[in-house]
Formats: sequence, C-alpha cells, structure tokens
Amino acid sequence: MQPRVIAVLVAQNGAQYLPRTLAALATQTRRPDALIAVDAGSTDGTRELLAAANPAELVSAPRHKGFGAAIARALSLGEPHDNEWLWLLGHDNAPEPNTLAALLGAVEVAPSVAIAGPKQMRWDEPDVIAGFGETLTRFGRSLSVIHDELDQAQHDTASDFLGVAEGGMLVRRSVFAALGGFDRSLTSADAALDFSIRARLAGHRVIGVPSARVASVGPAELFGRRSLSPAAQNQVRRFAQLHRRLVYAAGAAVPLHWLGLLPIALGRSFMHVLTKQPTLIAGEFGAALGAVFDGRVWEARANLARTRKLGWAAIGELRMPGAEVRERQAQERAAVLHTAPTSRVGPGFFVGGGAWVVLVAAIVGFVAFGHFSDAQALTGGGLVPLSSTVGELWSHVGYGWHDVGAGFTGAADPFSYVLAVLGSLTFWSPSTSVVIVYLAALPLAALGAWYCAARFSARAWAPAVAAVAWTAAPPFISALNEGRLGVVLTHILLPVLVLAAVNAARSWSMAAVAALLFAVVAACTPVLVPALLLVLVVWILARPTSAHRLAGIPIPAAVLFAPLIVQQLGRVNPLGLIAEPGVPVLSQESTGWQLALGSSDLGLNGWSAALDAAGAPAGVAPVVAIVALAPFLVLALLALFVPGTARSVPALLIALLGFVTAVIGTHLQVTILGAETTGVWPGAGLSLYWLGLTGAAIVAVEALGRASALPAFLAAIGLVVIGIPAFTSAASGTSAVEASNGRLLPAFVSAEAASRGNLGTLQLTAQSDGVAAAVHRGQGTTLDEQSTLAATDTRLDRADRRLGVLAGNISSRSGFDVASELDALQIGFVLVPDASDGAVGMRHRLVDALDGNRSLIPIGNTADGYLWHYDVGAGTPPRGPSAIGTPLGIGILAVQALVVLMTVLLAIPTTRRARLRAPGATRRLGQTEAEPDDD
Amino acid sequence: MIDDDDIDVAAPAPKQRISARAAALIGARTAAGLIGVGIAVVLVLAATFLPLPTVKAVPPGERITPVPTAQQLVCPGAALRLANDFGQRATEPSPIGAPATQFASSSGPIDSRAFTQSDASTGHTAAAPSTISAPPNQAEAGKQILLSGAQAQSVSEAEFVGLAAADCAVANGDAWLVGGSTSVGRTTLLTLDNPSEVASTVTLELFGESGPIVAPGTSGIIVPPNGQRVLSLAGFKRDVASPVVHVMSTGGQILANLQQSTVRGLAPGGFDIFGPTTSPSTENVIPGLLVTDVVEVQNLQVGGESFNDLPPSLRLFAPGEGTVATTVNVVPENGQGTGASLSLDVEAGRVVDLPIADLDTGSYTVKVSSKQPLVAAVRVSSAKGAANDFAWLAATPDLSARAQFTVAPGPGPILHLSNPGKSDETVRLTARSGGRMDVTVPAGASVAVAVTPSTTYELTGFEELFGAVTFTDGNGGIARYGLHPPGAGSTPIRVYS
Repeated sequence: MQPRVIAVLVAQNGAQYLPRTLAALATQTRRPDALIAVDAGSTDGTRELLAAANPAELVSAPRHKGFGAAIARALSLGEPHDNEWLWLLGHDNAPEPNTLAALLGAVEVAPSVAIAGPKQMRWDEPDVIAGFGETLTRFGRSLSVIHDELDQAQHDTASDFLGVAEGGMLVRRSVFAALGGFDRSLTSADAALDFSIRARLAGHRVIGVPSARVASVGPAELFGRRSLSPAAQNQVRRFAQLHRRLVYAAGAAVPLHWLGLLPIALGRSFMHVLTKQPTLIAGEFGAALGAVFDGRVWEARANLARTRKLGWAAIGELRMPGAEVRERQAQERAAVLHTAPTSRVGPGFFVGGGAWVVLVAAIVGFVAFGHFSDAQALTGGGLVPLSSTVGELWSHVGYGWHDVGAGFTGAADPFSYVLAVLGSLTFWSPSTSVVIVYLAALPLAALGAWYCAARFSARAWAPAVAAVAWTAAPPFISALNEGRLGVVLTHILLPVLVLAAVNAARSWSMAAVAALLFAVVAACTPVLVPALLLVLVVWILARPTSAHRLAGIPIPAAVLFAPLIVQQLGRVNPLGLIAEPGVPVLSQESTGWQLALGSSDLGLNGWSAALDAAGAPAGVAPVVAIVALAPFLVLALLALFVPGTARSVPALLIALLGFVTAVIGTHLQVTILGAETTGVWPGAGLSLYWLGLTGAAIVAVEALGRASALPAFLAAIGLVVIGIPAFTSAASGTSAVEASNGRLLPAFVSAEAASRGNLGTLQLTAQSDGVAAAVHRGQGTTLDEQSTLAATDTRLDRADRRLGVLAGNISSRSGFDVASELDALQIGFVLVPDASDGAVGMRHRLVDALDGNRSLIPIGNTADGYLWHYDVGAGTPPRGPSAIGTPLGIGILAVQALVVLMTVLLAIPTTRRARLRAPGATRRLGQTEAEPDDD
Repeated sequence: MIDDDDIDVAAPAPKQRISARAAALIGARTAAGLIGVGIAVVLVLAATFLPLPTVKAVPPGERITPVPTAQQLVCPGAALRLANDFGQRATEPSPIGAPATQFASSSGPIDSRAFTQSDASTGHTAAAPSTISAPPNQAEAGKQILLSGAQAQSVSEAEFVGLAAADCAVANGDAWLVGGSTSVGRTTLLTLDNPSEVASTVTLELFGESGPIVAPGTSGIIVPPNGQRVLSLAGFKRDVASPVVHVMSTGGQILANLQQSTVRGLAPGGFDIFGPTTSPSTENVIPGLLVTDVVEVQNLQVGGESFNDLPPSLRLFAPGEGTVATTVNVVPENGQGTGASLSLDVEAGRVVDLPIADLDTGSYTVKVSSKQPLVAAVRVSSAKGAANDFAWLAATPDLSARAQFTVAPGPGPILHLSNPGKSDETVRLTARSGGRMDVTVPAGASVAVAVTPSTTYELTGFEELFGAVTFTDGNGGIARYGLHPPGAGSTPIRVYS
C-alpha cells in the first residue's frame, strides 16, 4: 500500500524563509499528500504566506510552546490512517526536490524504521552540512553526530543514529501517536532527540538518510528567534539535559539527581568563570532551578515507562564514546585558535628598543636603590616594615579588631589586601617584598609603559620615549624616595590597567584583568577612583557594545571598599575614603604651577634644594625645571594640533583629571596626625597626569614622524635631567627611606614582645599644644595594620577616651593610678619619640612627668625616642573579635574572597567562543556565523 | 573627533575636495589645540592663584585635667663659695650663711625638708636646699593646688657682696641655664639638686662664645637622692665669658641653678643665684629688666676693661646649626621712656652676648623673636658708689588664668607684669595674708607694682601674662626671679588619641 505523507510545516515569524521553503515543497518529485501549516503565533507576514500556499489545514498554535506542541496541535485535527507518515518541517527547512522521495525510499525498504531524518544543510551554503544525526555522550549531553562539515559524500554511508533533528524528520504517524509526541517540557533543544530515543527504546529504528537534504538556519533552539546569546542557548540546552536526566534515570536515583542539581550548577558556574563565560552563570542556575521545579518529570517518566520495550543497553552503542567526544572538543578548540584574528602589527619589544630602555631602567634602579638589596625591610617616610609572618599579614585584613591607636573594630583598608598578597609572595620574610618592589620598580614601570605605548603606536621608538617618560616621572621617583608604596604600585600598574581596560572591550579575560588592576590601584590610591571611574564611563560611552564587560571593571574594587564605604558614610565622613592608606605622613602643600611641573612636594623635585646647596639664587630652580620639562610638555600639547586627535584628546583629558585630582587632594586635609592634618599627597594624581601627558606626547611623536626625532630626544633628555636630584638623593641614601632591620620599636621592646604578643607600648608624641597618644601591640604597628578609618576619625570613642585619660595623666604630675591602668591595658612600655621644633617644651613636660613617675623604670634614649618600662602583670588587653570572630566579619571576608576569586578565574586566559546568530538577522540570509567575540 | 583616517577615506575624491576638507581639518585641529592649550594655561593659573577652599578635619582631642597630686618645689639653698672661711680647700664648696625662705600653698599645710647631703656639706642644715611639698587637698580633690616659695639672701662677706633672690622651682629632666662666666674674677657654680628618692644621672652640654665646650666629666654625674652636687664651671673650662649649660637628667629629676660671683681685683662685683630659663623657643619673654641708675653704672665703667660686664647685656644661644634671624625688642614698662629694637642673625651653636646700650633708668621687658628656637637671658647691673651687684634675668614661661607667687623676704620688691595679648588684662592680686588689689596691664605693655616682702599672692582673672619680681636694697644690690605657672607638669593637657 502506498504510504500517505502529511507534511506538517511549522512557522514562527519565518516570513523571510517561507517563500523558498514553500517553493521547494511545491517542486518535490514526490509531493506530500497533504500539507498542514501551523502558524505558531507569528507576528510578521508568515500567516499570509502560509495561507497563500493553500494548505489542507492552516492551524494556529501557541507561541513559545515549541515545535512539538505545534505538531501536536496540527495532528489533533485529522484522523490517522494506516501507513501514514508525518513529514515535520520548520519554516526554514527548504527540502531539495528529491528529499521526500529519498526519505520514503529509505523507510520502505526497512519496516523497522519509524523515524528517518535528512541531512540538514546550511541555508546559504547548501554544500555544508549543518547537522546530521544526534547522539548523547555517556553523561547524557546531546550533540550532533556530524556538523559544520563540507558535504563531500563522506557521510553518505551513515544511517543508524540515536536520534535525528526534527527539521525534515519523517516519522510514522502511529509511532508518533503511540509515543505521545514530543516531550512537552522540551520545547526546542533535544526534543527530537528525546523523541527518537523513546522510539528506539520502544523497539523502532531511527536512521539518517544521506541522500535527503533540507536547509536549516540553525539548531532547534534558534527556531523562531533572530539570535540567541550563548547564555540563553546554554540555559535551554542545559535544562533539556537536566530534564532528560531526571526522566531517564532509574527511579531510585531521581532524588539523588534532584538533590545534585544546584550544587552541580554551582560547580559548573566556576567552570564558566574559568572559561570566560560568566554570562552563562545565570542561565546555569535558571536551568537548574527549572529542573528543580520541573513538574512534568513524572508525566514524562510515566510516558517513557509505558512505551519502553527495550533496556537502556540497547542504545548504548549509539552513544558517542568518550574518546571521540574529547577528540571533537580538541578539534573545535584548534579550529577556533586557527581562526583567531592575527594580532596587530606593532613594534617588537627587542627590535623596537623596549628591551634597552628596560635594561637601562633596571641599571638606574639598581644604582638608586641597590643599597637596599641586602635589607630585610625598609622604613622611613611612609614606610614601616610589614608583619613578620604571612599569618599575621592576613590577620590584618577584613572587618574586625585593629590595634591602631587605641584600637577599634572596623574594616581594614583594601590596601591591607594588597600588602598581604605582596607580602605572601616573599612568605619567608614579608617585608622583603617591599625591598623587591623598590629594586624592580624602575624596570617594571618602563616595561609596562613600553607595552602600553606599543599598543597605540606603530613607530619603534615612540614606546621607548614613553617608557623613559614614565620611568623618570617625578611623582614616581618622589613616591619611591618618600616611601609612598601605594603610589609606587599605582604608577607601575597604571599603564597595564590602561592596556587591560582598552582590550577589555573585546575580551572577558582582559575585563577581569582590568577589574583586578583597578581594584589594586583603587586600594593603593583611593584618591584616583573618581577620576578613573570618569575615564571608564567615557570609555563605556565610546564602546557601548562592550558596556557589559567594561561596566564590570569596578566591581571587585567596589566589593573590597564596601565595608569601608559603609563605615565612613556612617561617620558622615565620606571624604575619609580618599585618604591615602598606609602610615600617615605630613606633606607640604605644593602650589599649582609646581604640581604642573610634576613636583608633588615643595622644591621642584629636589632642584630647589640642590641648587640652593650649590649656592645658586632662588629663582634658578624654577627656570631649570621649566626648561628641562618644556620639550615634553610642548610635545604633549602639540598632540592636539596634529592628526590623531581621537587619541590625544582622551590622553589630555586624563592628564587634566590627574592634575585636578592632585590639586583637589592637597585641599582635602582628611588625614589626622596628632594635632595636625594633612591633605592627600598629590603624587597619585600627578601619576595619572603624567600618564595623560605621556600618552599625548606619543601621539605627537607618531604624527610628526621623522620630524619628531629631535623634540622627542630633547623631551627624553629633559625628563632624565629633571630626575637627577631625586635619583642622586636615592642613590646616596639621603632620601627618607632607609634600610631597616624590620623592627618597629626599640630592641628592648621587641625582645619583651617576642614572648608577649599582646604587650602594649604607649607612644606619646609631643604636639605643639598637647600630646598624641597611640598604643602599639606586640612588635609594633606594621604597615599592613595601618587604617585610614583610624587616621581619618574625628571622633573619640570610649577606648580613645580611656587612652586619653591615661595619656593625659601619665604626661603630667598626677595623682592618677597609672599603674593599675597600665596593667588593665597591658601596657609595658612608654615611648616618647623626638618632637618637632614647636613641641620641644611639651616633650620636656612629658619626659619630666614620666621620669618623675615611680611606676616607670627609665630605660633611656633609644633610636626611636625615650623609653620607660613598666613591669606589667599578666593579663589580656581589651580587644574586640577578629575578622573571623563574628558572622559579619566572616561574611564580608567570604563575599570579598568569592568576588576576587571569580575575577581571578575569569582573568585566567582560556578559550574563545562564538555567539550563535540566525543568518539574515543582521547580515545576509542563510549563514550561521561566529563573531570573533571571545566570550 | 577628528582622525587622520578621514583623510585616507577622502583620498580618491577630486583634488579640490581634498584641499577644502584638509583645510577644514587643519582649522579644526588648530582650534582644538588652541582650546586645549588655553584650558591648560587657565587650569594651572587657577590652581596657582585661586584661593581654593580647604577641607580640614578637626583632630579629635580632649583636654585632660590631671588628677591633682602633691606639689613639690625645690628651694636652692644658701649662697656657696669655693674654699672655706679660711681660704683653704679651694676646690670644696662651702655655704655663706643661709637664705630667708618664704612659702605658702592654697591647701594650707606645707611640708618642708632640708636636703640630707650636699657637696657643700650643708646636709640637714638651714643652708641646704629644701624641698617644700603640699599634699593633695582632700576637701577639694578636684582643685589644683597652688604652691609657691621664694628665698632671698643678702651676702656681705669678704669679696662676696650682693643681693640674691630665687624662687623655689620644679625639678625637671631638661633645663637650660643661660648666664655666668668663668673669665678672670668670675666664679660660676652649678648646683644640681635632686629632691627625689632615686639617684639621678646628669649629663651636661656646655656652650661658649666659640661653640660647644668639650670637657671631661660632663656626663655620668650622679646626684644622690635628696642630695646636692656643686660643680664649678671653671672646672670644665676656664675663660669662657659666655657659658650656656644644658642640663639633662635621667632617673630622679633635678633642679639646676647657677651661682655667679664677681671680683674685680679685690673689689667685690656682686653675687647672684639664678635658675633655668625656658626651653628653646622662638618667643622668649624676659620681664623685669630693672635699670636702677644709669649714671652710677657709667661712673663705675671708667674703672677699666674689667667693668665691661656692667651694662645690660642679652645672652642668646640657638641649639643646632645655621643662622637664626632674630629680632630683639626692649619695651619700657609703664609706657615711659624709650626702649630699643634690633635685628640680628645668631649663629647657631655659639653663644652671643649682645650689649643693650643706651637704656635709661627704668624698667623694661625684653622680647626675643626668632625663626628657630633659642634660649635667652639678660644680665643687668646696679651700682651705688663703689658698691655694685648684678642679676641674671632668665626668660619666664607664660602664666595663664591662675598663678601664685611668693615675694621673697628681700628689700624693695617690685612685681613686673607683661601682657603679650591684644587686649588689656586686669589681674587681681590676692595676698594669702589678706588684702587684694587689681592691676591693669594694657595690651602689649608691662607694668611695675610694688608688693610686700614675705607675702604670697594669688593672681587671678587674666588670660596670659609674664611676670617677675625684682629686689633692690638701695645700696647697689639687685636681685630678680621670674614667675612660674602653678603645678608645672600638672596643667590640663590636650590629648589626641
């Protein structure tokens, strides 16, 4: 008996594909006996097109219920006949003329076959196989057996598959009805595969017919959609897989699978971060939650149990073996690498002179700071040693008790994290890491600047000039000489941050690197955050299509700063957030024009003092500084007059923001040292200012070509000249920073504190109108213990007041019971450091009072000041819980760690992936293509 | 934004279009460049010259009033000389008589104890230094105790002739003594009084007109508990015309004094006991410079070179290095007469003696302002016929709000008050023995008030004053000591924590 074929054509907004498909149907050598057209809620001209084709039935099906639902809706109308076949077609499945004939031919010779599928060819490349046959891995992941291969008849022998795609599927109507059609939960992906598997388990065969070909614009998930993000595609496929897993699993294993849904989603989310697909995470959980609340599992399980005649072993051979799966993955990765865009041609590091500049910077760096090479630690200016063990280092991060001043409970500076990571690199002696930073600072700065500049220039020596300008930058050398570690790190990292942020527009990995660098720079120099955010916003506006990647850059920094922000806002002291982290140091305010010359402190980068010492009149230093820097500054401003405005204007805007930051910072005196206040050191702002100037100068050098040789040479010479006094001061060891043995307090205290870690040392620093009191615990207050919360606090809490009463009385001839208070606070030493000129009288009073105090045993003058000992009894000082002592502290640590970990995972470079796009959605019709977009 | 790409794109277009477009581009770039340069110039000028507002955090501090405790002062004791009554044992000090000492406190009872040992063998005697102490006032526990004392001694024995007065002062760990001389005929003794129960180790730094004096024996000087050491400055170095002594002690605290006696030929040239000046400071105030009779002094000066130390002279010393720009103002008291004013550069590390010439008879306040901290004192002489005497005037600390002083039992006491402020001060003097008076000190001026010997006065109702008491016996004798704030070391203190 001649089989009867009903073509079921399902269309959903397929107006652009339908004409070709309908025409192809009309030209079949074996015409279907009837055409049922299903309009699945189209909103374009689909319905009219279908109606024009004169189908036997034109039915409407609900949108978003999927292909299977549409077919079920169509079939509910007609009566089944014997030997009746359904030919399922989507609006894009234009068949070749002999397709139906070939399919029927294949099923007629093999009565056991219930399902036959054609080859799916690409819509606009009919000789490329889009997909042919579907199967499962051993873990139940679905995949096409053959896809994206040029059809050279190499697969024309393949016939038995585990499943075939629904587009062009020919299925016996009786089987379709007996199996209950497509699973209602599977609206797109895996619906046909699941149906095929059930057919096979019911004892039928599923074959592919190589000689039958239909067109296809993409996989089932894309049906009726213009494009599909990897995230959405992953969610659909993942849900389908989870649904099938719950349906296929043995009854006893279902609860186990169900319980594992969310934990596995969490684990896979980490994998997605690692593979630079953070956008998949939401879908991953969406799919898992969908499966958790998947009410149709039992219905589907019952359906399967009803129709299944064979065991699962029957289809085992049709699964893809693990070895083959791995080989295919390897091939896919190789193919992606092969198609990766070739890198931009720029100057080579060795050919372009970068290596020379870095080498010279390394030599200069060694000459300047080489005398630190055998130092255990550095001290002076803004530097004090770090904690002596990695454990202590990490105990100073997070929200908890901090032994700074009188001690307080609060959030540590994010800079503590930076120091903890830095110190952990040299875990045997954390302070050594700071020494290494000093030794490597110059070559690192040169290296970063060179690579950053090379990204924007084609000429070989433009990056070399940038490296010189960046390495000799006055704020950088001043920061090194004054021990402003935060500014030093920021200066080294700023060009790398720029590089990462620029590349972040195209790469998740780079966005994550930029986010980490942004967090470090923000932690080191919080004052730069407003300017950097502004630059980022402008960059996002310039690259709106990458906004999702760029907008994430501040996230790790925001999370690290969040506890501090909350506390400072709670104190109504938001400006305290920009305070420079580390040891508070008084800085002399530099004037506007001196800042413009890069001089972060009074004295024009040391030229004033140098010329003063040489006996030159006072007016000479500004002239020298201006003449030396003039070529560089002129070159930077010249960038506006030459081609390349698109780069020079942003660069100079960065310079402007940096300058404004420097100027404003000096006027925000938020950091408190005893009776004095100090503004934010302008060096950080000037570093940003210098970044902009250097960038602009590079644009000018690029644009001027050969004509720029002389000005660029003069600029480089001038930059070196301006740094001479500062370098000399560093090399001769007359700068504020000096080698240290790692002790923070007199040796006597260190020895005593070695056995009593909680022993306090009361430091009384004479001020012009009083005394500043602070307690050091154990070996002293290390750099990583410093806190801007303490340094910007304008209020006295209870601990402060208690310390104040003790300090006021111990600094006086007083009847106060000093001894029992020292016992209660576990203070064993009193230290009075040298005082400034204006506080000499007050210091005498302190020394007199302490000498006159019978409880105290004078030890004498030490390198750190006068010291007294009190024989304190055993006990514990009052202190609050540590960072891991409260749920809040643990929670804060956990969230911060999670965010940073995620960012690090995302930053580790792995693979590139493609976005799926329906052909014709934006470009020509009929093409499945990948944007070189490595999400 | 303009980019060079634009030109490349336009390249195949007709020539005329290129030039028009290129011209527009160049014009736009020039405009952009000029705007950029303009912004840069405006920004730098604005940052340099605009008075930008400064946000300044208020350092968190609290004024802590120390818990009152026993107040303790040390009275220097008798005038001393080297060699005994018989001119023998020329290296051993011995006392000349004993001073008359007067003291009082706001809390009533005072415990007075003589030192137990002394190089001058005065232990346990009335000639020994004494410690006076007032216990905390149990009735008014929170109230600061005012304790003061002073001593006067008129010496007239062989070549030691003169009037000396000193107040009982607080022992401390760091003191600057400015005055004395070890030139021919001048003997200067350094007394180190340790009122505490523990031994004190003293280190001396000596400076002279030619710089620091390096001498053996300046460190590790042990002063026993409740003991006095007497050292001759000449023992460290002779022929230093202008010594300055920096006394630093550890352990027990020390009251250091200098005693200078002058002999010209065989004629006595005066005697004085004087205490430490204020710590190095950029503002030194020396009230109570009393010029008794210019003519008498000038008459004596014809006697020759050895009388060159008769006119008033200011001794300055700046610790450290470099030169210190200094301004000296000599302001007459009671607004009468003319003072003097001069500027000079003081070379740090060397002691400078600066004669204050041409002062008329009268009383003055000397103010020394300097760029860097220095110490200062004035020497002034008085004469009546052949009899003459001198006094060293140390700079005094400022008094604030409340103070007490005792007028030593000496002749012709006059209180000198100097008001450094910008508004007049009316201060009330209340005698402990009863009676009070109000004295108005005009802004920036000084006044002299006669006071009663052996009387203790409380000063109240003022903000800031400097004070001194002078004594003259009408027979050439002159003495003076400065007023000190009460309970030094127990005034309220601001603590930043």
